[in-house]
Amino acid sequence: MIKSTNRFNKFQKEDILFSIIIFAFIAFTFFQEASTLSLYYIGFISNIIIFSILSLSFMFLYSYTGLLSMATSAFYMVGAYGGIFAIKYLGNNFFWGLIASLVLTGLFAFIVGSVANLTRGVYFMLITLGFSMFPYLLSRGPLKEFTRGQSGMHLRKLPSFIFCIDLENPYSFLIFVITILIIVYITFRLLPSTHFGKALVSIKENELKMKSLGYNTWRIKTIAVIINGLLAGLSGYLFLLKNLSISPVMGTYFVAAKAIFCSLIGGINIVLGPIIGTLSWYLVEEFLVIPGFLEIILGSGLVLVILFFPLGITGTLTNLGSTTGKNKGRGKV
Amino acid sequence: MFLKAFFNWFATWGIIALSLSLYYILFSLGIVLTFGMHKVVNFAHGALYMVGAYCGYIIYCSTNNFVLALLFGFSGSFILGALLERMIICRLYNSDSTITFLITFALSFIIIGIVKLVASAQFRTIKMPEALSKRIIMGDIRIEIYRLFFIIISIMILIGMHIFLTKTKIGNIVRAGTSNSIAVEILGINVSNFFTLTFALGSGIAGLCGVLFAPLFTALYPTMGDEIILWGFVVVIIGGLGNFYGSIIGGIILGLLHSFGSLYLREYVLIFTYILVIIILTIRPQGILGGRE
Repeated sequence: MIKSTNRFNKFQKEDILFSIIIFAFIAFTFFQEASTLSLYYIGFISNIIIFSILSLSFMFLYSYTGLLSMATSAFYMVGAYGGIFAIKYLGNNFFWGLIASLVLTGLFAFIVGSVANLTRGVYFMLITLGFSMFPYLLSRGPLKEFTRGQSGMHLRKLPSFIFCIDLENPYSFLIFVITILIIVYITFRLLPSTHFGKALVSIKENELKMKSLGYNTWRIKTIAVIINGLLAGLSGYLFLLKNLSISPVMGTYFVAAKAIFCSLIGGINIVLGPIIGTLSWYLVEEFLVIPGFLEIILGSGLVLVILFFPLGITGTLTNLGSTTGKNKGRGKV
Repeated sequence: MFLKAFFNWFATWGIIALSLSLYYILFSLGIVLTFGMHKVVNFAHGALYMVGAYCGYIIYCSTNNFVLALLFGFSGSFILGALLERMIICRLYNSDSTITFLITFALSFIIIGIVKLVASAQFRTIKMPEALSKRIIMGDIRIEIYRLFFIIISIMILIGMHIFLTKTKIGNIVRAGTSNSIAVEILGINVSNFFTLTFALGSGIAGLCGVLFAPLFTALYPTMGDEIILWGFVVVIIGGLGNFYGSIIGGIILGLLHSFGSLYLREYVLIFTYILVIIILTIRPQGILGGRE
């Protein structure tokens, strides 16, 4: 539970951890020789960062506002498809794709948020689950001619680029993605000290009180869903640029569940949490492979984390030294 | 003439719609019961259904006895459900619905992983028992005997469930515990045992449904529960979360929509279903038959 907003203004242990991780990423890129294997690992790290942006977008909605949005995966997919349509039909330009994906996800998130926020709790989750199926079903069914159905769409060539960054070079693409991650991280760290952030946290704590104080909680929550959507759409667009090929599988609710898992493993209510969670998920998936045991390991790890370490990895780590912060994490399970 | 054509059409498609509805209703029974008790959004239900189907498959392949396969499908899911409830899900009863959703999701992940490891991700089919694989042909109407068998068995299960819930002592305790578990505990009844029983019963029926329905439409594969689980939730939402009789209505609506809808709406039918769900959730979140909260 986020009790004092002052906590967010200070330089915390999690910021130190975050900078260590970022430095490790950057150092890794610099000390690689250009071989196929190292190029693979650089792409791997880009994938981790892109997915952690998605997890962060989920975390923002869940731990600041208390809304569990299953539509995160749908936003992710809409962002990627919007980007690819713009690049195909409007011209091979990074900014057309960016604008299209953000506008489309923004609109979709507005629809989802405005309807789903009429309810709350489980019903919110179920409504967003219902909405999350739309892009998936549309791309497989009625819009099949445009989206090529199940086989997905492919980009031949990356958009030529922006300012002086060459996106085709995996090194500079990684640095570009890291920059976006840092911007998102700093924004979310500073958010609770702003007026809007405080309003969000108070809605999570006591919505009725906020209503009686005269706040339009529906509007604030809808804006939160839109921010979630925009960030997820951005993540989807980056995924498109990284992998050049997208498919409707991005929009299934498993992707949303993966983002949720990553946030929970890492630690809810801590901005670093989703990043650490995504990192550990990908590391387990990549290096701890005993053939066939992947799902069992990930699933049982999750059950253990949720039942016995409700603060997640980051929460447990940052609380190790302090004696007072025992209940700082998720509060009521 | 027209009437006769209409009757033929209705008999052929009505039986398909009815069997589909009953399939949805049987599957969602467990979800309804668990949600009614503790607001547990049970995503592991699809995995339990899959385990039941696999148990039935093993027995049917080795003994070639369909009734035995049905029994084993039921008991496999029943036992697994009881274990899960006792070990993990009973810890979640007073917690946030999001946490229960995530844990059950993780559980289904684990179960699917284990089944994949043991049985591989290959598609498997349960063949129709020979005695039931024929068709009745009356003029233009063709009815598969297996479908009639399916309909009769499921209606019997539903009636049995109704009698269990309303007439027996255990059912009364379960219903009382659903509406107010503390009051029942004060009366000196250990509610948690009954909750385990109900959870296991719901899972057992899902497993039975997995075996019973396998010869008609679906093949068996480890993720077969992930598709049906969403429809299970849709049924429960339409009928009213936690309302047994509501889920019957929800199942009939969904079955009609999916069978007749796929005739006329074609590829829009799934989207139409989700739009219906969203409208119901926004306007009447407690469902058609659900009471006020």
